Amino acid sequence: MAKKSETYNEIKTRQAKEVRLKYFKGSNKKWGVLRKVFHYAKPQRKYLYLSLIFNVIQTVSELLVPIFMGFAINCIVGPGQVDFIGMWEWSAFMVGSALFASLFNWLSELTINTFSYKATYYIRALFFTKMNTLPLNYIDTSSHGDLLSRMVNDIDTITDGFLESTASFISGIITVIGTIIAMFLLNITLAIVVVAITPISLLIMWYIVAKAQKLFTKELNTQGNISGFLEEHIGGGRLINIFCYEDESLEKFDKINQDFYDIGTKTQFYGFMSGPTTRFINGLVYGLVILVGALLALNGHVLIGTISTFLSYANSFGKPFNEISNEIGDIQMAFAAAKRVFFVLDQKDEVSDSHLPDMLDCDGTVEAKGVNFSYAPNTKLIQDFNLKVSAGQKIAIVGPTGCGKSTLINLLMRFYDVNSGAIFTSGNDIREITRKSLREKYGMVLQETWLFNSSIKDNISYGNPNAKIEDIMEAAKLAGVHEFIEKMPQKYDTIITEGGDNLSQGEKQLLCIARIILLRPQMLILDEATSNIDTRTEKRIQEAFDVLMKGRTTFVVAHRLSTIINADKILVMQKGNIVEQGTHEELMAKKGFYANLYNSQFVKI
Amino acid sequence: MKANKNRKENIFKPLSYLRKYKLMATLGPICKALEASTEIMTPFFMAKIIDYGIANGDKPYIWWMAALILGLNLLAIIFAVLGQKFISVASEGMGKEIRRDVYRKITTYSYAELDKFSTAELLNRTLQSSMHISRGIGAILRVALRSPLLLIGCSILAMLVDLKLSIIFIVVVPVLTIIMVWIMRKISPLLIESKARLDRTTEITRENLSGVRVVRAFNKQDFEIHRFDTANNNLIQTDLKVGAWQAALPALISLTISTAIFCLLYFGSVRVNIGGFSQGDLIAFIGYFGQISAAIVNIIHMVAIFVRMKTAQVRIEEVFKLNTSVINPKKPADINPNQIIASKVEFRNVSFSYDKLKNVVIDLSLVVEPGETIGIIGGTGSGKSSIVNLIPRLYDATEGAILVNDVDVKQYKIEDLRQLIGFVPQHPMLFEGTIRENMRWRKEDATDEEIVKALMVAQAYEFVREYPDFLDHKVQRGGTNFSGGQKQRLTIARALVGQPSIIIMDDSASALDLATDSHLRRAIKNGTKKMTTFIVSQRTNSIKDSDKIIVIDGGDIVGIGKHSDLLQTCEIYREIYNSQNKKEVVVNG
Repeated sequence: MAKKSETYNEIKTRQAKEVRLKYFKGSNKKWGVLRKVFHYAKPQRKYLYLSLIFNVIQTVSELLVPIFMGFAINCIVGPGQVDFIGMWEWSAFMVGSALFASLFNWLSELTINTFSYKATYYIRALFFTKMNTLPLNYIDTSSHGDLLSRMVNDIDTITDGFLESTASFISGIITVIGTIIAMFLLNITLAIVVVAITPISLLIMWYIVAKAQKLFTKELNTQGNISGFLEEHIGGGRLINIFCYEDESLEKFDKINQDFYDIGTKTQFYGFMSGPTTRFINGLVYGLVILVGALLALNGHVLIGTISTFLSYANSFGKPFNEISNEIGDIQMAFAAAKRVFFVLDQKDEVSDSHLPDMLDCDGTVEAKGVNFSYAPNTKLIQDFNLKVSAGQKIAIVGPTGCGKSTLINLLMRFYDVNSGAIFTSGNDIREITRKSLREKYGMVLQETWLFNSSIKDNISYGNPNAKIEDIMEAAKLAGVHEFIEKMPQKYDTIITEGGDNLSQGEKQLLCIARIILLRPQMLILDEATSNIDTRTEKRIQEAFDVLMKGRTTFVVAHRLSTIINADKILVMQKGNIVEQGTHEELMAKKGFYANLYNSQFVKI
Repeated sequence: MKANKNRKENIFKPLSYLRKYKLMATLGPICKALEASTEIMTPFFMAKIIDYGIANGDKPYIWWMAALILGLNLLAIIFAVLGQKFISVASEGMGKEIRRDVYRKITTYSYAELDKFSTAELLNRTLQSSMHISRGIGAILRVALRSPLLLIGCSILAMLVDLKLSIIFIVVVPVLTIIMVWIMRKISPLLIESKARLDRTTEITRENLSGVRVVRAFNKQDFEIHRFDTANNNLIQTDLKVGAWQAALPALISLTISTAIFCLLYFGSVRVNIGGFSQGDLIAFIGYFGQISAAIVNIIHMVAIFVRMKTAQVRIEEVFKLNTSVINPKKPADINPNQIIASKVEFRNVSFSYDKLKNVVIDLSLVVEPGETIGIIGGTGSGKSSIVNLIPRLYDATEGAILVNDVDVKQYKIEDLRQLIGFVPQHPMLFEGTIRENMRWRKEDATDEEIVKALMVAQAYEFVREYPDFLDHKVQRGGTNFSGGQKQRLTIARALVGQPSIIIMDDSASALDLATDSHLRRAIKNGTKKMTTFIVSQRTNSIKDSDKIIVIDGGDIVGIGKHSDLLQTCEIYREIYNSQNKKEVVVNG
């Protein structure tokens, strides 16, 4: 777990050591997965050991209860033939054992819970840390919902399935062995009767469980189907409305609904058959024990009390098998979940920069020399890109939709590394300095706003945690959002809720700008796209941008004509590549792609 | 839709769904009850073996009794299998019917009703709530006759043997109940807290995924890791508490039962000593006792299931209570939408509000001649989308009337009205399937030529043509295999298939760059000369060539006219135009 004093770099180093489990790495075989899980659970193993010890004590105590009860019954023979002292003694022992059993049952559960939850905590912490050290490429190309599911659901499934089930499994075995020993010590013949039935019961149980498991998986898939259908058709309900598509939609739904019914009846049947089946097997053992026991009692070979004890054992003998068969489902799901979690945990981190120096001074210059880049090896995007930016210059990036404007941003901030060539900031190749020192020189305001669930104050000071409230307010004023904040119920302490429901898109954007204003970076990366914002707020945002850009080297994804025309250099992008560079006048004179784009805005129909 | 049924049902009676499966739903519990009765008899016969068989050394008697017990056991499993079969058919069938009705109800919703729920909520109600009810009924049917029978049967048998001793049972039942209730009350608030804390960790994770660039740009990885660590730790602490209480339950239950057996042994021994109560009876009593306590535990579990069913019922009722507000007229106008080439649209003093409090459209009056192009511009929340939503009756105007071809829209059969219109909504949405299937939503039997024609006008042909499987190219769920701009162009094409007489584009070109947008407008004007066109946009460049432009600001219609006129007369229009084209105005003097 992340200790309070551990820095990001120390966490990375520790992780690197752990992932040097090359022995386990890439082993998707079940044994390998199991070892990995226990490796991650290792720090908590003392709880597992404790739990097993408690479990043994509990099992032994539980086994003694029917025995003492049997002895007590043996003292109660008939009218006038009751040994009260004996009865008291054995009854007292019985209650005592029961007390012990209950207590240690509880303690055993507590410790196994602690073991499993702490392991969950630990693996979650590792996973989260991993998310912060993974190369951005991985996060961009993964479904966020899927990663979230692995973090939230899969890790739980692993600890449930492996750790708790393993403990159940072990305690089940202890119970079975203990019961067998106790039975054989009491009466060999009866013990043989009980044990002989066991293989049959195991076979029947496992047939049912295996069947149920297969059906269960199929049901989950069908449920996924119907869920996906509903999400699409309900989410697209307005569309169905417009096109009067209701009947067709209902028809399609009926088909999937029927599938679900078909599989549901089967799973419900098999799923709940284990109860009656267990009762049947117990009943079988019960009947045979009574029969054999009674016959033996005729010859005085066995006491009534012993029969009673055996009947109790016969009842509880089946339980561990029942539990184990239930656990099997959990264990199978746990394997699947573990594969998914380890797949992420085993991913390579981004290239380390802990051995690199920090960039100390920033003069606001940026240079690109012969840069080639693309996300996928087969497609070509940026080819042989060269650029020289002096301090304080404004570089506008323009191009049709989907042309790859964010690619440049990814490269400048070293979210992705170039394939060949180099980018220099203040004379340093950005691969030769720490990412931290590079990124803290930039202030970034993108089209997608990002705020987190905390106060407005915390959000604005995200980049400057030690900022004074006066400075925060000053930044807010410059961004034009101060009055708005003052109108809110708790002003700067107002909490921004998930998704920022209490703010409009424009207000969120202004807060992001205030955040950067407070940061006072030497260089800027901005995206001017402002769809979904009303005109007046758009104006305020543009004014705030102008404040930001004064005197700073700026890369701006331009949407305003004024920005483009006033830029010191325009980078024209098309299909991922920079096809033209120059000032507005230079590019118009070329009469090339840019000129075409510019003119088409004013085409008269 | 073939027939827009207005479902009058806005009540939800879950049990009525069981009616179709009446037979199964009755036979099932009966079988389970028969199963239980066999179980009750076992301790009885066992006592007989001990008291008569062993006591009298009667071997044949022992054999017969044991055979009886084994025979009853066999009967039990047969009844169980039958009962289980009946119950699963009944409960799953019930679930199927409920799901269908809930979804059918949802398909009748118009925009106004869809606004009231989120997709996740409706999905949960269709799928999960129905399952909670159907599976809950299944559990109840399984237990309904069985457990009470076991409880009452065993109690009666016990009382028949020895009334005084059976008092112990009467005491144990409330004790067990109190214990279970006490623990459940301790756990409930903790479970809520646990869920909230899990939500918190999920939220932080989500924030870090969506904001991964921001976190790294600000170098806040340490901060985020510690933030997560706190939430993660809090979660575990709560879960440990829940676990402790949950573990206490079985421990306390078994302790109670052991104590009760202790009392049984003591008082039983006294009774045996006096006479009138045998050793066999004692063993039978212990057997009855085991069955009774198991039955009590099962019955109490039913409470939790019942609570969950009740909640599910309430949730589904919410869905049923909502009736669609857009209803077909009793005698619809007899108009064939396919015979009309371009429609006239008229707004007569139209006002509209979502919530009857604030009007988002105030007193709009306008006549649109067939074939005209109308632009509608205004800021976010100004009401521009609302105006066009009224034409196909996605919402109904609260005041005034809208006429299409001189007939009130409320007089049209809804299906006919919407067939007149090609609507491109604000957020492009495609459904899983092939491109061809998606394009056929307006016209089921559209030919490939018709589809291609629409794609060309929508500027989508150029990229669809590149696919080797052409119109058979698959659209993945959510349309994720297309870019935003491509999706928009496809949805525009979809609206054009089959030549509607009115086309409405609600801010549909926002993801398109200016060049593509202008080509699109030109193509629509030329390729569909006769269509009446409505364009809603925030960009003046998109609408400035319209025949008329409506400028709306916070519901008020602040200007109607041509572009050049509005620049002079409408301040807001001028403001919007300038902010988007600052330099141009200066350059042109």
